[in-house]
Amino acid sequence: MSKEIHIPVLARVEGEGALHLKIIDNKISSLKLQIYEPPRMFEKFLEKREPNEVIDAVARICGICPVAYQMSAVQAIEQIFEMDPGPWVREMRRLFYCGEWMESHGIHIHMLAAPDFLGYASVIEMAKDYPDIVKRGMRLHALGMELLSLLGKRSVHPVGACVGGFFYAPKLKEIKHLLTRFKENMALAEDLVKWSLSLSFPDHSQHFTSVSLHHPNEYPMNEGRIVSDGGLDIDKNEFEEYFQESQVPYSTALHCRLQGNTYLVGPLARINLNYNLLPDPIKHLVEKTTIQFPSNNMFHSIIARCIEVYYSMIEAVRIMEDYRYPEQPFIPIKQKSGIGFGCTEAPRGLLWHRYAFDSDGLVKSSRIVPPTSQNQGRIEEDLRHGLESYGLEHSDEALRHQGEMIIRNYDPCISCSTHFLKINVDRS
Amino acid sequence: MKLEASFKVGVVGVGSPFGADNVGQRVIALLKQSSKSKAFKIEYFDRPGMHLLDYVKNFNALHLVDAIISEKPVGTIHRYEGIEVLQESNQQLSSHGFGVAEVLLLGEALECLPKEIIIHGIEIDKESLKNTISNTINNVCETLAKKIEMELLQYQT
Repeated sequence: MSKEIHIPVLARVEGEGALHLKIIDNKISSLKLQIYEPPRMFEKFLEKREPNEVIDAVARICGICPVAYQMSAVQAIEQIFEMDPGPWVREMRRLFYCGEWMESHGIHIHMLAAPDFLGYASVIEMAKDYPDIVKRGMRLHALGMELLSLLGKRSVHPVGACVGGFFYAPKLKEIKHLLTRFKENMALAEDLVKWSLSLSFPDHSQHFTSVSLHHPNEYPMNEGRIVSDGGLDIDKNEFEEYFQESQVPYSTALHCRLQGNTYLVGPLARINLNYNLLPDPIKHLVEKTTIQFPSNNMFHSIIARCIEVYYSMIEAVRIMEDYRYPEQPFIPIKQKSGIGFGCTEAPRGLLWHRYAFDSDGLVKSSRIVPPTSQNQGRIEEDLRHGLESYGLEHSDEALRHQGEMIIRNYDPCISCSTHFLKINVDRS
Repeated sequence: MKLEASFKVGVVGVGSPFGADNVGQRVIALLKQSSKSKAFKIEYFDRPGMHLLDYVKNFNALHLVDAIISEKPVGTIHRYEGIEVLQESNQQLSSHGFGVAEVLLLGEALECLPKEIIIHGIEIDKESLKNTISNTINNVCETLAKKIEMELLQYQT
C-alpha cells in the first residue's frame, strides 16, 4: 500500500505548520514537517539596537513566552557588560519565569493537549463535559498572567524587565495580595498534577537524548550548565561547539543537531534530567503511581508540564514570602564591547542567545536558537516511529489526528521557531 | 431613574488597534467621551483572549463591539442578540487562533457568560485591515456609538 498524505494546517499548535507524508509499500519513505510561517528576521533587525531596545524587541518574538526571550537576552548582555545585578534581581527573574511557565503550560495543557487525552476535538467541546477542568486551567493561567503583570507591568509583551534588573519593584502590598491568591489556589495545582497522573497514556516509548539546563541547587529556569543524558555537560558559551543549526528546504525554521543527532528539549527533558531537584510534595504524588522519571514516553510531557505548573506555584510562594522592597530595582548599565551568551529554560525548552556589541554599545550581531527549532528533528523522528507503530494502513484522517497528537506532545511554538497541520500523504 | 447598582452592564470593544480592525477601539473611545455613558463599564481590549471571560463574567448584560467581515456591504452595521450567530469555527484552535468568537463559545460551554449579550459589528473590507480606518468607517463608528448609547440608556428607563 502506498500513498501520500498532506496535512496543510496542523491543528492545536501555536502557529502554522504542515506535514507531508509519503508512504511506499507500507513504509514511510518521506516525512517533512513543513514550517511555512515567514521568517521573522529578528536577528537582523536587532543590529544597531541599544541594550534595552533588545529586551523590548525580543519580548515580541512570542506572545506566550516573552519572558524567556527577555531573560536569555539580559543574561547575554550582562555577561558582555560584566554586570551582576545581585540577589534581589535574581530572585525576581525567577519569579517572573514562574509566571510564564504557569501561563504557557496552562494554555497548552487545557486548550491544546487535554482534548486529546479526553477524546475531544477542541477545548470548547471538552468544556461542556469537563467544565471544572477548564476553569481550573483558566484560574492557574490567570494567576500566571498576574505574576507577569506584577513584574512586567503587563502580561503580553511585558515592558518591566531591563538590563540590570527591573524598571519597577512591586510594592510589598502587591506581593502580599498575590501571595495570598497563590496560597489559596495551591490545591488547584496539586489537583492538576494528580489529574495528569491519572490519564491514560499510549505506550509510545522510544530512545531519545534529553537536553536541558542543570543547576546544582535548584530546578533550572534561568541558570545552569547545559547537560544531556548522553553525558553532555557544557557552559552556555560552548553551545556553538556542540550544536549546529541547518536549513532544510521545506521549512522556514532552522533544524538543530547535537553533534549530528536530534535531541529533545522542553519539560520532559527538564524533568528527566532534574527530577531529584523537585520538591518532595511533587515527587510524592508521582511515586504513588506507576509513572517513573526519567521517562522516554513523549505522551508523559503533559505530566511534566503539570508538574512544572505546581513547581512554579511552590517556588513563587517561596520567593514572595521572602520578598523585601529593594533600594534600587536595577543596576546601571556600563556598556562595553564584546560577545555574550544567554541560556534559559523557556516553557518549551532551552533558549539560547548570542550577542556581539560594538564599542558604541550597539548590537553588532545576534543569534537566537529557540526550543522549537531544536525539537524539529526529534519531532520528525517521533512522527516516523509513532505513525509506523500506529499503523500506516489507517485512514488519512486517522493518521492526521495521530500525527497532530504526536506533534502536540512537543508544544511547538512555530511562530517562535521562524525567526498547524496540513497533511499531504502520497501513497504509492 | 438610576440603573440598579446590582445590574451591571458592560460595553467591550475588541480588535487590533491597527487598520480597519480598529473599529472596536474607535467606538469605545467615542462612547467614553459621552457623559451619558458614565454609568456603564466601557473598555477596549486589544485581542484579549481568555482574559475576556474573566472580565465579562460578572456582568448581567454585555455589549460587544468588533469589526465584522461577511458578505454585506462595507459600512453595514450588524447587531446580534446572543451568540448563536457565531459559527462554531473549525475549533482546531491554537491560542494564537483563539479569537473573540471562540472565547465566547468557551464561555457558553462553561456557563460563565452574562445572561444578555449583544454583538455590534461594523462590516469592513478585508483588504483594508492593513490600512488606516477610512472616513466612511469613521462615520459609521460615530453612528454605531450613538446607537449603543441609546440602547444603554434603555437600561435606565
